[in-house]
Formats: sequence, C-alpha cells, structure tokens
Amino acid sequence: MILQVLVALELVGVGGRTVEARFTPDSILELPAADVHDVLGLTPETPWLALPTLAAAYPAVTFTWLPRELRLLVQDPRGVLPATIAARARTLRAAQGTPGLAYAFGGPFGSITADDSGRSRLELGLNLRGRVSLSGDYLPAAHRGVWTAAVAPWSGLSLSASGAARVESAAGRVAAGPAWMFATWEAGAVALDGLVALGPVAVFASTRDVYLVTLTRSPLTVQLGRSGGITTTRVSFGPQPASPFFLPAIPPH
Amino acid sequence: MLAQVAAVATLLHGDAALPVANSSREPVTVTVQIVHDTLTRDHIGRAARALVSPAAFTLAPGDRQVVRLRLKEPAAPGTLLRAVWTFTPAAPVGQGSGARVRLTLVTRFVSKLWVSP
Repeated sequence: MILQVLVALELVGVGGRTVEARFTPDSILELPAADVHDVLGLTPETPWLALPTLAAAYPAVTFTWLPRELRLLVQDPRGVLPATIAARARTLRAAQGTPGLAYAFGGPFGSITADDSGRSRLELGLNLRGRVSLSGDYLPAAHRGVWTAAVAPWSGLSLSASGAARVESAAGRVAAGPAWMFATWEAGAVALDGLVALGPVAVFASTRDVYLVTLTRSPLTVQLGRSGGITTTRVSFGPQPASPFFLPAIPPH
Repeated sequence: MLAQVAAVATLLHGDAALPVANSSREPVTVTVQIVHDTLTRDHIGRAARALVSPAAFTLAPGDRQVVRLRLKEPAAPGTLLRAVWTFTPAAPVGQGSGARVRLTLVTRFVSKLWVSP
C-alpha cells in the first residue's frame, strides 16, 4: 500500500517547500518530479523519484531524512545541484558592485588621514541603516572638498553620485533576476557593463571592450573572453567557481 | 499533562506544521482529524478535506512529532477549522496473569486552526 505523506523538502541555504511525497510498500520515500525540479533544479525522467536513487546519483550531496519532523534536508556544500548553482549565481549578481554602505550598520563615521609631507584628509559621513550614505571629504592643503551620496534601497539596486560644486561622477547598479547592469558616468563619458545568465551560461559585455562567456557545469567552468583584440580561454575546476564578471588574465611574462 | 499540542495554529497558504509531544510516562497513540468549526458545544463539525501527515502514530514518552497539514478544499481567509487530537495510552504489556480491571483514559483536544491568506 502506498502511503501519501507531506514532506518539507529543503535545500539548505537555498529554499524549500512542503511536497506531497509518498512511501512505497517497501518504505522507500519517493518525491514528485515537479517538486524535485522546483526545489533542486533537477529534471527527473519519471513522475516519482526515489530518495535512494537521488542519493546514489549525487554522492556529494547529503540527504538527511528526519521522520519525526517529516523533513528532508538536502545539503549541497560542493554546489553540484542546479538549484544551488543558480542560487549562488543570483547571490553573486546581487553582490557584484554593491557599495560598501550596504554591508554596514547605520551611524556616523569619519576619519582623519595625514602623511609626513604635510597633507591631510578629513572625512565625515552618516550611514542610515545601510540604505543611505552621505559623506564629505575635505583636503585642507588644497582647500578642496568632495561630497558623495549613495543609496542602496534593496540588494538589487544602488545609486551613487559625487562632486564638488556640481555632480562630477555617478554610478548605478541593477541586479534583477538573471540580469545585472552597472553603469558609470564621469567627465561626460559613460561606461556600461552588463551580464545575462541563461541557465549555466553567463554572458558579460562591457563598453570597455570586454566580452566574456562563462559556462558552469559543476565542477568545471569554461570561459571564453575577448578584450583589446586578445581572446582568452580558461578551463577551471574546484569548489570556487570562476567569476563571470572578470576576464581571465595571464600576467605579463 | 498527557500530551502537548498548540491550542491555536494558522494555515498559511493551506499548509501548517504542528508539533505534538508526549510528556507522559507511557506511550500514546495519536490520531488527528481536521474538521469544520460549529456552534455545538464540542465545536466539531463535518470533516474537512485535508491531507494530514501522519494522521495516526505512536509517541514514546518524551517523543515529539511534527504533523503536517494541507487543506484540500477552498476556505476563505479567517475561516476557523478545528484539529481534533485523540490520545490513547498504549496498553501495558507483561503486567502479570491475574484478573484485573484497567481504566484507559482517552484524551481528546480540539485546537483552533485559522485559515490565513
């Protein structure tokens, strides 16, 4: 007799949901394919996927069944499941280019810097809950000051501007879903960086003449980039995936 | 107290997870039913269409079990349902062969289940 059971399927650090699983007559837990796809990112070929089959297919992943909590914890520290890879990529996109103010607690801040040539720099500012930052820099020897204003209302958006008598530079960053964009303006020149992730493929392009395609299929990452007329290829492996934002570089020799 | 369950719980998007503990010194068999609330004295109305997992189980002394619920019928936010918990002490074994009278006290708790949007 098949026993239907409600199970909290949780991919630790990523997400989860309560799924309508079932126990087979020989007490094997089976998970519905649709929920396995939504939570783990896998696409089973059968409507039901047995837990032992899943565990055998992914030996690097830990599946912990807690019967008293009706909870199946899935721990994927190596990032081999598609859902883990996608979540890490989302986090990376949201964090890339985030201003430092977003990582700080609110409150006033300041600094005094001096060197033995007689130059000094004063900085004073206010950070409001890690969302808004207003600061001013003053160089006493030059009698010159610069202000900076920045807002990061949520993790996917940040805007900043700085100047003296008028705005001299500005920057904006948007990370939404599979897309990421970073734009800067300074001295009348605009630079624009953008990235779009399509499953395991991330495409990065910049008006600074940088182009990069990154294919991640754990544990391998393959990158093909071009900048300044030079094409670079990189194949890497290991627990730390290559960043899709940075062109692989070979030091001059 | 024989067992511990939450007196009030909330069904969020039709789902709820309710812990139950056996704080007595004997094993108990627990059954759970989801019913509609009524104006009768026991508040137990008709059975609601819901998946209860597990609907029946045994708890050893000191054990805990999470019971997961999923409502399978439409219910407006603010609807009050009831979870009927029945605790039956397990019959002791190896108590000798002499004739004796045993009184089994079955306890029933009726807790509130609010439907949340």
